[in-house]
Amino acid sequence: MHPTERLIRKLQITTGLDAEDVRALERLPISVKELAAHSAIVREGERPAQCCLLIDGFVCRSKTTDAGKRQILSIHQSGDIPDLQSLHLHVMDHDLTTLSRCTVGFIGHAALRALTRERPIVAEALWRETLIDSAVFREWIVNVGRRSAVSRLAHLLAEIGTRLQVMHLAEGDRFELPMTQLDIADALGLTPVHVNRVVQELRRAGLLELRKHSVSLPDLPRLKELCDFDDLYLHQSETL
Amino acid sequence: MARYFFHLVSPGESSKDDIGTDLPNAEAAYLEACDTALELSYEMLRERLDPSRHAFEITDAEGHLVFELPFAEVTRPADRMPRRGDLRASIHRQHEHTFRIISELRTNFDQTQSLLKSTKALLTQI
Repeated sequence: MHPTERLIRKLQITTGLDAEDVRALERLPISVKELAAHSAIVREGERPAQCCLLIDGFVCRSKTTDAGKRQILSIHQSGDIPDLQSLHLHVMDHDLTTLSRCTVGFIGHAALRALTRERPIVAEALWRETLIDSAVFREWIVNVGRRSAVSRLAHLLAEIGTRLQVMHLAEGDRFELPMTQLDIADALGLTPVHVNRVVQELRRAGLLELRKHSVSLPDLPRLKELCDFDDLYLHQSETL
Repeated sequence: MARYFFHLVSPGESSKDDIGTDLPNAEAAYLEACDTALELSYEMLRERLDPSRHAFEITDAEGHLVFELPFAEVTRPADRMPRRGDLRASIHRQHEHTFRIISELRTNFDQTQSLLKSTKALLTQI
């Protein structure tokens, strides 16, 4: 798999890249690295000179309070560039950490900047990505601030499942989700034991099946109804 | 790390935890139970349920009871948050409570027995 294959697949769903744009993306100099689960990619306060393209695996963005409580802000899957903002906002204001074993590709800021200046459609596509990011953050504020514990988990699972399906990375209603109980707890603002109870509640309701590191959502319509999930905020409709 | 199971005991029913949570020791399990009891209490109050009628029963991987945490212990107004060392105090309080009940039962039993004895003695006099 070419390092940019999933990035290009994702951008092509919603934007009209031409053959020349695709070639320019493929020509980006990328240094590929394998990272273990729970390793830091870039930390709050750092000044990175590169962006991280997630080629395979899952990473999260998070902030930690002075009291040591971590809040996960977003979860990213292959094809995402979760720290694209560092191209223009030079000091990181949050942490970027792997959730699972990951293959990542580092792209120097200079090369990315040159690409966006030469290929305006690519620049628009990447800009659009960061706008979708903020739409997802808005939805997460509602999730953590206003939904019940069971709806919070339902919404998180519906979001990850939907995003993976759009990218053809799910097998029907089943997908890989290598998150620990603690990771899920930090994404939902709940304790791990509370997450545990909610997982069992969804399981008893026939809405969730758990296998080791994989999840299946046998009744996605009912799960979405439970947490008023509307995929509008993911903005994944066909090329505009 | 050891796996602890947090069973929720509610009036008339008990909801088993069949997944469990990995924690370093019983003290960490106690603090985790306190945090979770507080979170569940908020949700119960919103549904007009009384949290003080619920408790966590924490068991280890072998199914042995490690400790119990009545939600009242967390929701009762206190001047500080739960912290390390509280588990010992909580278990101590529960032990004292149990011993008090045992000794009350014993006193009742003794009283009933002596009552029975005097009743029997009275019966033989008839």
